[in-house]
Amino acid sequence: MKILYKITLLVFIFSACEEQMIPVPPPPEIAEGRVMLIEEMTGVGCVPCFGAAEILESFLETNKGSIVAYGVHGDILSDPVDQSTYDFRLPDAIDIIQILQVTGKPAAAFNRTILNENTGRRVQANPPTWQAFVDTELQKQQVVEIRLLSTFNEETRQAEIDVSVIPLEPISGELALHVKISESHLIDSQSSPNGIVLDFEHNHVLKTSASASQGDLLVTDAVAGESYAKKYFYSLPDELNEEWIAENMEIIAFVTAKDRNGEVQQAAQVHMME
Amino acid sequence: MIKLSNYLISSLIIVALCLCTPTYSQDTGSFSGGFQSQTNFFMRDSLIGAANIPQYDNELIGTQAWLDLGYMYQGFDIGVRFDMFNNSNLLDPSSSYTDQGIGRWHIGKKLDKLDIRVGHIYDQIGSGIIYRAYEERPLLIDNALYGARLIYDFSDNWALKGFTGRQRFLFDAYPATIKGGTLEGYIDLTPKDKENATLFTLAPGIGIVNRTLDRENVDAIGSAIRNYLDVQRFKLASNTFSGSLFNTLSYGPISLYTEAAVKSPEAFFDPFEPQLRIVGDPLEGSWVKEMGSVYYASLSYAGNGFGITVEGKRTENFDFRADPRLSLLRGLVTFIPPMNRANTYRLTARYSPATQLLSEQAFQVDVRYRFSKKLSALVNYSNINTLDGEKLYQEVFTEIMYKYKRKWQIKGGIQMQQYNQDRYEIKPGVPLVETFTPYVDFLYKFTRKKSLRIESQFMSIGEDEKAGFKQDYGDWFFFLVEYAMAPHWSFVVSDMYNVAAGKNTPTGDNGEKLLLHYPRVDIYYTQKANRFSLSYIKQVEGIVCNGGVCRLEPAFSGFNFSVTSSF
Repeated sequence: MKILYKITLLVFIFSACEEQMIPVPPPPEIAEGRVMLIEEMTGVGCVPCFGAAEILESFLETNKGSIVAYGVHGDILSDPVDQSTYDFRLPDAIDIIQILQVTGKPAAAFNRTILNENTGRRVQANPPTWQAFVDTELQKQQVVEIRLLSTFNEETRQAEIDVSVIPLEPISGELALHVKISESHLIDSQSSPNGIVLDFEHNHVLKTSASASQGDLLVTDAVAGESYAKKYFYSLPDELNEEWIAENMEIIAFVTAKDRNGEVQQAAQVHMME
Repeated sequence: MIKLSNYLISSLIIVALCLCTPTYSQDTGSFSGGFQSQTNFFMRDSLIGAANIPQYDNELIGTQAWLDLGYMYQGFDIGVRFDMFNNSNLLDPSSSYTDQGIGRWHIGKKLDKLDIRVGHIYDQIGSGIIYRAYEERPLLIDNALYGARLIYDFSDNWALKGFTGRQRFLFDAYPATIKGGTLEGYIDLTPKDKENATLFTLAPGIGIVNRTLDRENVDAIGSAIRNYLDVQRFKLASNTFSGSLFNTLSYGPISLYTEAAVKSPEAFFDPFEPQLRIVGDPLEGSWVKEMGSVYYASLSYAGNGFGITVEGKRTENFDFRADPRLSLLRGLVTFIPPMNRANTYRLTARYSPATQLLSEQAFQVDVRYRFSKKLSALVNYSNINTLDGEKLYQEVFTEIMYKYKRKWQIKGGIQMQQYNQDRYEIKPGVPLVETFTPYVDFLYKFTRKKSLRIESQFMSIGEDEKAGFKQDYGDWFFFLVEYAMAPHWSFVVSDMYNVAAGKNTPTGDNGEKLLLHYPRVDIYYTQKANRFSLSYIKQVEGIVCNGGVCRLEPAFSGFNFSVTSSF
């Protein structure tokens, strides 16, 4: 009887402590003008990357205009499979894999914020956890404005890229400008949980950088309200195997601040041929 | 902040150790410790996949080291451990990690029937299913509880234990708080009135663990399921409870361990559950909220040269971590006993099944018989399926050992495996890996101090008809020679050779599969309590497991220098 009494007492204690359930939080309020960058580490031979690409697309769809993204294939799990048409193991993507110290895929960097102070990790594996990082970044106040313009000459296949960066608050230290070129609507093979999908649509594939991989120094100790501009020229290779199609090309510009852990302050994206 | 306080506390411990020792010169207590270090010299070999991580590309050398110090004095138990990682690949074999500091400290004191301990505490409840805090250095698992623990012995046979804290991760701790307690006892039912009565005892216990997530963690899960259709959404909770009832029954040579554990519904990611999203097509893998359970039993008998152990286990939704968003080896609160033989030979250990936390049904039988002082044999059979009946792993392992006086001994046998590489290594579409591995191990003692050991295995692998090759890397041959000169020297030379190409065997520039050698040379030197080793290693990628906890290790190429000391 004593034992029964003790068990009853324990049940009573725990039932008295019943927790109030927490409802699913509503979507965050996106700070006005804020545009964040997601760098998705993906690969043709990476099975879970199939689902991760879908998750990224849903972020872009539900936060139109507030997120820009590109897929970094690089050199991990990116070897073309037998049925591949394209080889996405491009040098600028490999540079980013090394800069961000990517060790596995799928993974993503969210404005290159440091996600673990202990390890200095900037990329997050495990796509089911990505939404929270997106929410956090979108709620931060806009601190930089980027005006990005592309003028494409169809005859010479050259894009003239004008970038103006206007800090909305003083930013100490070096500001670097990064300009990347990506391509969408590339139909090719991709590993998936059900085997190789032959007609997977690869979107936002990072093809090259118009700037240096580490970014170009834009200004040191930026003044609020000042406009800092740079111009780039990019020659698009000739179309081949439905690749390098001007209409499918995207230009992404973003700014990193050295004194703010090298994190991305703002991003912007335009089509090469508007 | 935690790191700073670690430094402060450990400094105080060290100062206290220095000050108190001479004061009580009549009883200076006991001081002990140990040092371990491993240094890897990385030599890039892109052909085998030993490339494209910072150590091969730039850093070239990586080291990890630990120094343990412990002091016991008049009921006090004080310990501190210095950890150092310098371009180390131990945390993640594919990346570089650098940090150093006080990895662990603890202070304990026994006050009559009360045992008090604070700091980093290793402990477990039952077999560890609802709670296990332990260190597994080869996999850099160290999930000690950073908190406090009390144990009260309210009789000779019964003890009550309570603890609370947070789970350690490197030089910090996860934000979730963990609380728990056990009541454990020992009941002797052996008839006292009979002489030579068979020993009959029970060791029952009950345990409970509660984990409370911080709000940021809860909201992070909430933000993920916000994109789900209503039918898949669920309300969130900060608290998860798990409870366990366990008992060891011993009757003469028979021992029966049973444990039943349940976990209250909590959110976890099920990689096989379809995710129904507001935007886009359904995806494979979804957050779900379900109850969890594990039932485990182990029956063993040993007597008259005969021994048998039968184990069974059923696991459902028991992924219990300090943070449900963690994966692989990170943040595990639970430790579910593995249900396969822990193999030690290079090829017989090549395919090892990691314990599945969401769906597993398994049993294992191990039978041993000693025919005479010279001759013994064992047979082990293990079978692991999902709860839906999908085959995960099956192994038959046999061994016969013959000892001739103290001059030589020979061991040999056969291992047969079926290994679900799709599930364990996320390689979809690959067939069940099937292996057939005969092995032999011969030891010859020239003198009491000098001996030679020869070990050889051949692994034959099944065909991957879809790929047109053998499965995985194909067939392997392994050969090892070890010459030991006790008590100081030991020399080991081995080679693992890819005899017949498999689907994943590296391809050369001409498109042909390359049948590579993976040699290894080790020199060991032992000087009293110090042991040094220098190794040249070329190693193919493979699964490394400790107690059912496994990870995929990439290929390695280079040298390793290790030092182990104890005092």
